[in-house]
Amino acid sequence: MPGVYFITNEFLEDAKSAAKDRGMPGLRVLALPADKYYRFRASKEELQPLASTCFDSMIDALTRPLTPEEAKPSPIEKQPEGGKLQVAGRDFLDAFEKTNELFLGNHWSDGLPIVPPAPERVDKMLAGTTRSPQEIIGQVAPKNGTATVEKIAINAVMAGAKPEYFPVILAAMEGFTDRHYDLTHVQASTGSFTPVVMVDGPIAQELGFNSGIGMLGHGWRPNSTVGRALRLSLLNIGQTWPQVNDMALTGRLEAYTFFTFAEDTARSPWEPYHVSRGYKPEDSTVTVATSVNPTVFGGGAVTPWTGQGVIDSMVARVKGGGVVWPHSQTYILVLHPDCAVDLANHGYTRRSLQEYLYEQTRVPYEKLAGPVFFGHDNEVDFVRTSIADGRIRPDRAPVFLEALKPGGRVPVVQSPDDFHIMVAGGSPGYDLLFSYPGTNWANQTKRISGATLTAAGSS
Amino acid sequence: MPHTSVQQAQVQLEVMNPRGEIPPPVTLALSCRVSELATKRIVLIDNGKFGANNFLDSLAGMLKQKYPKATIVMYPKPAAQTITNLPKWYPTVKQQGDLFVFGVGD
Repeated sequence: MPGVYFITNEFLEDAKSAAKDRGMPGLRVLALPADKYYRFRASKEELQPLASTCFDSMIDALTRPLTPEEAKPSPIEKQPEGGKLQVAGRDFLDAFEKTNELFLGNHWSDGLPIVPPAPERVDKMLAGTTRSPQEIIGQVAPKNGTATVEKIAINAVMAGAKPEYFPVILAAMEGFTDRHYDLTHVQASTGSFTPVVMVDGPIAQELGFNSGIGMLGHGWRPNSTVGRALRLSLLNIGQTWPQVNDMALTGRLEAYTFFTFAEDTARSPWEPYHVSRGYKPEDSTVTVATSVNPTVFGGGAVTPWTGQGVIDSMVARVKGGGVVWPHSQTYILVLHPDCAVDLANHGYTRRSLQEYLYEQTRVPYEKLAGPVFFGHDNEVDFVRTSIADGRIRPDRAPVFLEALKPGGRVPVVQSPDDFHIMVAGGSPGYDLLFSYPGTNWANQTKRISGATLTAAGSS
Repeated sequence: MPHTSVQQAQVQLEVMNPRGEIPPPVTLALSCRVSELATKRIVLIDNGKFGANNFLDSLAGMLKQKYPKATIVMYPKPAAQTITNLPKWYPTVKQQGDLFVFGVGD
């Protein structure tokens, strides 16, 4: 079916890149001036002159006969990415500097100094796992780059990670490349999403991850370098770059290390998060998820707080968002241990807390029957369409159908499981709410295995 | 091919390429164009982003004026996050018309 795509000019390179990734390098794309389109798009009258200027181009794109290249495009050649590079310098420091210039110039770095990935360093990294260097972990969006164990090891060296961290990094990459994790959205969206990486089980303590005060900050090599290894792996193996095909408008809040921390299972009153997901207590796992910037709750060291007050504030925040995307919304609550203990002392288990959140965040039907929403007559129509096309799971559809009538209360997530509750932070501490308006299977928990340098994660 | 530093030097560092190899996709030809729009069914696909409907409405108005016998079909795409639904969605679009205009991507 012949067609033409309108985009705004700031996305022209992104559009051409995406078209080529999908085997359509000749896709006919027309670019609107971004500075005018975004200012005038609220008004059809103000947009009319802009539409007029591109009308003839649109007709041309739809009717001009195909060129020979468009009719029979040349095969896209495979770009080899193997091999080694030689970097020369007057002395080691000069060669180190030139390596960093080379990597940043090639868009292979995040802008901070990297550890040069010399083959002997990569071999040492690979010795941290029993897995074969040629094992394929998955394909990394947006360009579908192949993530082998060796490629991930190269990026882990660059990040400054230790070999004993490598099994954690591999498991996290399994999560990111899982077909149910919407990595394309995370890597490319204007939303500027940041991955959340949480380590659970005995390996967290064995490797010295921080799960207390400052857990999302600097100073702990496992937190910092595991997160950075993942950042570099996604950047390099997925071949993404800002303003080209990574269109995060502001950049990510934690661009270099993501939100990487460990659960404080010792101080949690509940079972570890990974046990609640079906893993054994002796397992070590890593959970990868996605987030917009987190919201902070609780009084910390400044004002009094209660566990119930924190939770009810989170409920108000969720309900105040004003948008119901139940087919896709997920929430991660990171409660500091004192808050979790207070909630447990008042009778909450992790499960009962999830159910409380699910019930209390339901939105009245009357609030959804408002204006047009993403091409739908209103949000009620949007939810009905989501049920009809299966985005709301069939087993949950009856709950939503029952709620879509006057007096009904529509859930904001598909099930209580979509409130993920973890315990981490110090004393005093704050509590965090991470949310993500993306596919509701964007959370992935993977078991850590194949470790050779730690007792945990070895089986 | 990435550039390397080539000069007379005391130290040579050997480093490995961190990039993932991309399996080249099968290339696809564009669909043949139409010779005229006057009698065609034209599907205007709204990607659901704010303002796209206003832009496409403007185009629809101009199309109707220039091609009064053409059929204009306004068709909303499911919300942006549901890209996994597209394989089921494209055949539905194809049934609606002879050609399409998609907007506004970002």
